Amino acid sequence: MSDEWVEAAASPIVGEPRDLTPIIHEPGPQLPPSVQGPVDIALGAAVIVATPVIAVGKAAAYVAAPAAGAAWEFVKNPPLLPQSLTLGSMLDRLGERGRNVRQTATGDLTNATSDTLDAVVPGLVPGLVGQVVDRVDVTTLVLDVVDIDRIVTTALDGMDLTDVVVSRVDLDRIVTKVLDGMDLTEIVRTRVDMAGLAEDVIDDVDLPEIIRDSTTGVAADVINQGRLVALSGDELVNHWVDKFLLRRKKRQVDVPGVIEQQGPTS
Amino acid sequence: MSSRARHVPAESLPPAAVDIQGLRAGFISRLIAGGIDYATIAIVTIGAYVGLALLRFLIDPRSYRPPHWTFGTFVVVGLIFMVLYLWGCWATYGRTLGNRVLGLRVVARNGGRVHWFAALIRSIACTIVPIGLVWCAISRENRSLQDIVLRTSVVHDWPRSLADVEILNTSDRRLDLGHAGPTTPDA
Repeated sequence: MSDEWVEAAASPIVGEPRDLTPIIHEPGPQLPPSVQGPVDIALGAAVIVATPVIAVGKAAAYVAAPAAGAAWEFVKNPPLLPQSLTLGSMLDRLGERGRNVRQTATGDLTNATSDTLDAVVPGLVPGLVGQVVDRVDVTTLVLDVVDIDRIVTTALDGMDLTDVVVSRVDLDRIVTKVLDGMDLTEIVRTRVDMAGLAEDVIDDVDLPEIIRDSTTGVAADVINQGRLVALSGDELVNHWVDKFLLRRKKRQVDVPGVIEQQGPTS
Repeated sequence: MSSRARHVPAESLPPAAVDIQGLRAGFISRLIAGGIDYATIAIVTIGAYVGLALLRFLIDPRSYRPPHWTFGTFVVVGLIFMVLYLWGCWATYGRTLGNRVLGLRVVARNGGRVHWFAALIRSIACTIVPIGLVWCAISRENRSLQDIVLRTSVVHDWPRSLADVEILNTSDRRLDLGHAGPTTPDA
């Protein structure tokens, strides 16, 4: 079933209309051959005999119809009789009564038919449908007759497939199963151009600039340390000289115009 | 001259050096800077000798003889180089190679760049009487004899990079240390 469906889906859905007769596997029930012949002969003879009789009857009725009509009218409504006692009146009453009976009977029959159908159909239809399905290649029939593409497109247009997948599919389980089943390292090794990727990365990263910056930073740190050592030497010399010269005030080392700063001096 | 504020990023300096920017430097810093300058000039002088020898060889290889330089010749040439070197550096960038390494700058009385003539006199004085630097240790203002005579100062000005130094010198001609107040106009 699934294979047929897949093949059908891959082929054009709406194609040339096909004759459905070949897909009916068996003809309906027939009389046995031994009975079929005599019955056909009898039917032929009856037709030959009946045809002229019917024709003569039709002609006689055509000729006698007007006179018969007048006679029948006279009989139904003879003169000099009360209307209630005429044949026509009695026939009308009889007809009325018969109509009532018929209507009652028809209603009962309808109800009885409905009840009968209700009782019979549930048992009959499944078997009947089974017989039909067995005798007809439903798949081929659907593929030929139904515009599946349109149905699927309409259905997909009407639903948020992403939402359906997110809400109804256990994605974690699927992803975990997929990942468990594959060797990612091997896939990357075989399918990814590692050399090209590395070149791209190196091209994007300005390696010389990074090296230059880091080198400059290290050199600057070394120079700053050297300056701080020299600064300590300055303070040491100033301290001892001032002590030797018995100075009590701090040195005036700020330069007017450069900075007015009350910072620590040596 | 433009008074555009030029801030030396204090965060790029060691914490101990932030507060001393713009103050006069002491004896040891200046001595080391001078030593570097002397070493530089010594290398340049020797290089000049080697260059002259190569030039002679290229001009007349057959009768080539190395230049006959006595010690006195080296000294005189070195002193000349020193004067030119100091003059050029102070009159343009305000600092020599030694000053650059030690984070020092020579400034005029008003804090600006030293006038070219004052720079020339100072370079001659420093070359001939280098001992004047010793007065820096004795002076209450950390000034050498040359500084006192020419009213110059050598201050701490640690550059973050060479680009900063060049911008500071070429655009503002002043020291503006960012955290200091407004600069005074050029004299």
